[in-house]
Amino acid sequence: MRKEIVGLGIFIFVIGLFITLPATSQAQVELKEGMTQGDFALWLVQAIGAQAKLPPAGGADDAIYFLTQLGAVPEGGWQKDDEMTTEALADLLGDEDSANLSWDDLVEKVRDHIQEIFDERKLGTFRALSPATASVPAV
Amino acid sequence: MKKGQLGNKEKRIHQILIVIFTALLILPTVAFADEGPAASGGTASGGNGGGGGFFSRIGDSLSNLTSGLPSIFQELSPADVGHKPRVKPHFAFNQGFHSNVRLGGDQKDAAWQARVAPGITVSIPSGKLYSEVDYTYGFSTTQGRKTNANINTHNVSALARYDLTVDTTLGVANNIQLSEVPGAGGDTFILETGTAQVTHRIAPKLTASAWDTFQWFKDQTETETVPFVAKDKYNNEFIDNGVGISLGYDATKDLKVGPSFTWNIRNFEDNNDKDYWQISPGVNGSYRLGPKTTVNGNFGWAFRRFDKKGSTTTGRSESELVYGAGFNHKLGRKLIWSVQYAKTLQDTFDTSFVNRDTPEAVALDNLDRDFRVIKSHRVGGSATYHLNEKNSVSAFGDVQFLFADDVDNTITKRENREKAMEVGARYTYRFNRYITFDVLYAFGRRFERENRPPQPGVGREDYTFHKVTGGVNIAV
Repeated sequence: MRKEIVGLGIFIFVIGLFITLPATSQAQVELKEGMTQGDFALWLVQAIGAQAKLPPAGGADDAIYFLTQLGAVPEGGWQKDDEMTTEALADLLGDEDSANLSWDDLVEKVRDHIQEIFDERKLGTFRALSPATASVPAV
Repeated sequence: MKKGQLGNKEKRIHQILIVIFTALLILPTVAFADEGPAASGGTASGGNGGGGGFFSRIGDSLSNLTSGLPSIFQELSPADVGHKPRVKPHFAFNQGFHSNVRLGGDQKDAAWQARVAPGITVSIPSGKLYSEVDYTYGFSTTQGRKTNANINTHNVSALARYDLTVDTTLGVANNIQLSEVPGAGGDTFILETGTAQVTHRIAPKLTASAWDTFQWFKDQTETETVPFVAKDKYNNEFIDNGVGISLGYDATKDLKVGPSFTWNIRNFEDNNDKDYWQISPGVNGSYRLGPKTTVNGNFGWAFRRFDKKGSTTTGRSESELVYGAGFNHKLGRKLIWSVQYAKTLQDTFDTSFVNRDTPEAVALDNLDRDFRVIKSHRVGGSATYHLNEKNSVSAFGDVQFLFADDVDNTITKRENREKAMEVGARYTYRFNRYITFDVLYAFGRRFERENRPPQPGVGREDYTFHKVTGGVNIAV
């Protein structure tokens, strides 16, 4: 009986999720100069193909946490509501000479740099579950 | 052949497919490489400068290959991320030597191990909806004097994320893994995990999240392969459904804190001694200690109520405080290091046969299948130093302490007290943006186990191992 209840609960939840989806219009995260650090973190995670490393509906905090685990932290730390400046982008690169580049050039270099770090470490240490959740088979 | 098993014919097909896939990846590379740098119009980003060497030609050829592919196969420009679909093939190969592949077994055996894993990821953004599907096939082999195992694995992941409003996001993710169990005559296990989640920003500083995770684990290992009397309890099939909710409040620019609550029900197919429900209220927080240091932690209570008693008088429930803490620090511009500690309440699974994509401390993850609850203290750390844009070194270390009572061992009724550790180091060389080589050395040891005499084929014996692996990862 419990199985049926659990299965039914899942079914209703998932169906309800899709029923609530209205017509699509504009993407939420637009790459543009002046965007917030939180939005940039979300964009960056998607750009390096790491969306699946976040919770399914993960937000800016999850993206920032993920990037922090990679070691991608601008000087002063991530401030999700502050603007993503060229200085912050140069910090992510760890290259002082990059501060003279344009915002677009920096974004591309940051994407490539974080992509490299992610590719190196994606074989490694990421765990999607918090210690507070129930245990699952380790795979 | 039993339902769900992979026969010899299927195995051969799998192996042929992997050879074809590998050839499809390598042959165009070689073909383009023969055209030389002139055909590329330049080297790949990060290439070694057109020196005309073998690796240079591979880099050039990969650049040529990607430029010749339809646009959905090419790396997107930053402006196109989130707007255009993309197909991304990936490929991994590694091999190495393991000094003791039968961890915890009564017979030691050194072996050569190799794994090849091609895959493909398709991502399709469409307005507010982002969808992603990944399929990865894996073939691994372990060849030792006493061990001969070949494993085919399939891993399919899917993700859909929808930004309902500026403040509300819906997401659904699903992962299914199908793998053979080595040494079990082609038997398979299945692990299905589905998660649906909603996050909503209630106020500028307050975010809520609710989720439901469903999991189905089916291990079809033949009971005949289990040299043990409690065969009916060795079936490890279960379903689990967990719901949870959490709040995150940005108390300051540096401090985020909030409560969480999870409720799980787990139901085993045969071994109903392990059935339970569990609630776990707690508090999570993170604090930015300085410009380069982040601290996080959680504290809560886990109460697990079993459907059956562990014995006639005791063992109906488990009540434990659960907590953890960690910090992450960036030292200079090139070194990032972190330390984590967690006390958790777990039950146990036999997943030693899973060839995981997580080389770090893999031996610690497998807790066999005897216990319905086990208290785990685990502390670990890692550090990565980027020598330059092409070279990096990293190190990791993990120690785990396990405590379990005899009433919670559903098979042998014996307690467990054990410690295990694993340390290692890796060197990574990034040839260019597509190709990465790495070499790993790891050492592991379990140096204390449950207080009982060894029982051949069952149980958790002490072990010591050394492992050296090297490989290449390619992502076009």
